[in-house]
Amino acid sequence: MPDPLDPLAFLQIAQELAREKDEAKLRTAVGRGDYALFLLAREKTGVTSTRAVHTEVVRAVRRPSGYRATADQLDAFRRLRVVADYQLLPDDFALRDWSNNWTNAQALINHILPKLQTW
Amino acid sequence: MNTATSVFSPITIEAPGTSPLFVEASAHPLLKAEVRETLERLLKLLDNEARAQSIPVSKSEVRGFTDPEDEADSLVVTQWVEAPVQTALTYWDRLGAAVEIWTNQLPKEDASLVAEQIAVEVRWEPDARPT
Repeated sequence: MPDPLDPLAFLQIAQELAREKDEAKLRTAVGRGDYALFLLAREKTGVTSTRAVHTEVVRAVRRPSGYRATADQLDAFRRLRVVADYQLLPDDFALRDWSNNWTNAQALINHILPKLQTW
Repeated sequence: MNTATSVFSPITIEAPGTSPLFVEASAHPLLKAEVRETLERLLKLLDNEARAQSIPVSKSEVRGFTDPEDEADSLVVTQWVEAPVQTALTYWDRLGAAVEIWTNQLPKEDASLVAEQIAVEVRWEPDARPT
């Protein structure tokens, strides 16, 4: 049986995509970045539900003491991914610059990742 | 005291801050009376924390969010801070700790509301200088 995929492999792909500054690639980078963190968080929290799983994972991260901000940051990343995947023109004017969105996404990744890894 | 109103519906949230408060129409269906009361207290806490930590807040927003994949609704409370990214993220961490302590003191139903249906977000101005 093959080893399961390390979710962090998606981060490598995200960074490669983001080098080109193309909107479609930057949006995809945001998506891969979010799924890397989401899948890592799902593994760490042991959430197994398949219904509303993104919401369930955020709630599970919020539960233990000291992780409220990490959960809120993960949730913010999820909302940015939803904009990247669903809104061809973001409703929020502040999210229409995808280079800036990726810069903010990277800052979130760098901030959240060590906290999830030491869960 | 800021009073945010909308022309779209009679939703009013009273918050004590000095920065403007915007309530988007997307939040209106989620703002039932008991939610509004807890939200007003949360906004007060966020304002107090920003002042205590000398973080300038340019505006606050309350929005509704529906994940199209999960079909779950939540309220998102955003503080826009005039601070560079690292300062903003460190502030967000401290804010999370304060929200957690406050939540633990709430009655069970309110605590559950804050833990499960309200997201607290900090967004930063891209060109802000260190405070």
